[in-house]
Amino acid sequence: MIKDLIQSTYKTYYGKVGYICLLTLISCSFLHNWLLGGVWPENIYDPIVGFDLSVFPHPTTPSKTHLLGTDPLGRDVLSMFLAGSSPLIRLSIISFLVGLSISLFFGSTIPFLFKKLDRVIKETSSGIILLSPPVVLLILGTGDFTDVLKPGTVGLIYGFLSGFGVAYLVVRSKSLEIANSEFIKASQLIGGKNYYIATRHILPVVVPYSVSYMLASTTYGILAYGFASFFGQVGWTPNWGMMIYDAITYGSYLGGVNYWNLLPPTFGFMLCTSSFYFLSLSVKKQYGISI
Amino acid sequence: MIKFITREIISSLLSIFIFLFIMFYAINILIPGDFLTPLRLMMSQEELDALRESLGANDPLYQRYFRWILSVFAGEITPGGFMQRNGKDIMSTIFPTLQILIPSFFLAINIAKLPVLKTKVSKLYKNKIFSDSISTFLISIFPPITLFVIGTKFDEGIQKIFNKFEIVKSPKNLIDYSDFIFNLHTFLVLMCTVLILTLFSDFIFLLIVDTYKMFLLLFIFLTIFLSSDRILINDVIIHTKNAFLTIAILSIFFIGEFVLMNNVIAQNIAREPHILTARALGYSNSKIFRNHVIKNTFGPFATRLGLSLPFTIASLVIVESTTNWNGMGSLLYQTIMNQDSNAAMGIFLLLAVLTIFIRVTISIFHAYLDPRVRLK
Repeated sequence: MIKDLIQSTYKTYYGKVGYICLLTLISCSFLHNWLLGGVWPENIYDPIVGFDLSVFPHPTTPSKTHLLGTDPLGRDVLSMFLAGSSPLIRLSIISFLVGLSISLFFGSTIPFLFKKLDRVIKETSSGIILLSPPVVLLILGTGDFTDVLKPGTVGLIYGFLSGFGVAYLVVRSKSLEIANSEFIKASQLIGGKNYYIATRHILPVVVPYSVSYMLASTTYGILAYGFASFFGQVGWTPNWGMMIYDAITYGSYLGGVNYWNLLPPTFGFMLCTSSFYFLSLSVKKQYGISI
Repeated sequence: MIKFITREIISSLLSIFIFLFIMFYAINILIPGDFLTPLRLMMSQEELDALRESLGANDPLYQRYFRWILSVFAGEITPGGFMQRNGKDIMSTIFPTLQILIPSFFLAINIAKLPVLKTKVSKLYKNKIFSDSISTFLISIFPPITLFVIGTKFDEGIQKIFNKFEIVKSPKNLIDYSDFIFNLHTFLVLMCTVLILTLFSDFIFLLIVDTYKMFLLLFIFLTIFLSSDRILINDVIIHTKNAFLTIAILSIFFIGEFVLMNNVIAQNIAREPHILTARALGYSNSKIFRNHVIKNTFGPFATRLGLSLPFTIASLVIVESTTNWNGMGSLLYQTIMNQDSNAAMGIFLLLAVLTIFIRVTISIFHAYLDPRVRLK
């Protein structure tokens, strides 16, 4: 099913753009690891504590040694930009996979197998969807959890909230709709067990719904993480939110707008959110999903 | 219909209780300290412990939760001995939030329908690559960047207009209007501007003038000018400067999302047999849109809108705290940062009620338009 999904989405314009954006981001992440592993001296190009003593004053405009210039704290902007892709990819992929697994497994089996439990989970999900992800991140960041708030953990939390929230409700309603179909009745008549029907007949039909929702939700997860990092709620991880904050705040202290500091993280956010939103659109268009 | 509404409200109340329960535990467990912590600078530890004991701050969480719920029913949403922000402060953020949320929704919904309405029915099933790409771009713009890029220029432009028309804030001794009148007029001025913008965009892109919007605009204009004087109007216009900026950034978020929703929904509807039949019967473009496309778009759009409300609230928190608009979003950010758990719970309650109110309104409207929803 997943193979079919990838193949069918790749056929569309949206899918192609989405995959290209995603591949670009993944390449950025690998490129940074490779460059910092041996090509770039770590004391100059480290995305958090790097500082180039040979250039003064910082920030500097793009040059041969610093292709995107340096920021007001003397760090290489290209290195920070490349390093910022890795946390967001980790966050997005973990969030997507966690949400997808939860919504698919519970959304297709519980409404069909355990009707009473389904009611309880449905009401809980309705409560969970009121939880706003940036607010959850703010609460966690205000507590003593800043060091624990690694991108993977944020992805896990976000995936759980989305998977048990919106995605569960969507998959659940589709599962209940399919449960009344003729082929399900026929399967029950010839003695198919409920668990078998749920996993073999219902689950494959609801996969595109869950995938499209989780891809769209991941976009908001990326923005939520960006917001939290902009306000310094995610610890010392290299990230684009912090780059934007530094560019705006320190840039204005030093009396100028440093667009070479500001544009790379802005472009990064666009690339990351667009990749997931375009993929979500391609799934919706290929499978005729309206909601 | 009454049965439907009752069911919706009961289900929503249950969701609010579950949501508040989760948030109460999350705030009290995850954020260190409690609403008495700020007093540590003014009191000794022994005095603070005694105060905690007397106010029940050391009781188990479930007891404190139910006590809080009871106090909400009694009319106090931020109970406790020491309150950094009381219930009145929190309630005062409702109007500012609605002042920007309603015009933003109105503007975004009206602009988001333009790409679909500009397309011929025969081409509706095709991908709208241009508008989809622009919308995805709008969604991915980070709000602080938008503020940074347009904020200064916007301020300068508005200041020039103020200088030209000699709009200055009135001295305090001349002010004789209440907060309610001021807030109401601010809302009306914002709605008026948004209506003019939508009428203008309709005329430019679709070459139509919506008579309902014209009447609404006229009504708001008359209400403003018959019920206010120069002092009030001056102060309202000065106050709306930040509101316009907040609405602009919030609308960018919403427009992107709504255009994509509309495009996908209209594309799927265009593939349905009844559209093909209508085209085969020779119905005009506008008739097919009016009778077949727009009405059928509402159901999925409303469902999607209801599901994306938490993201709307998220946008509200992000945008308000970026522009420093004194609504629920920015206050929530401040209360969490100040570890004011009582006030944060009060705002969560208001946000949940607002979300549920919008959701129930959408459901009722949906059920009113589509009898299948009522019968289900």
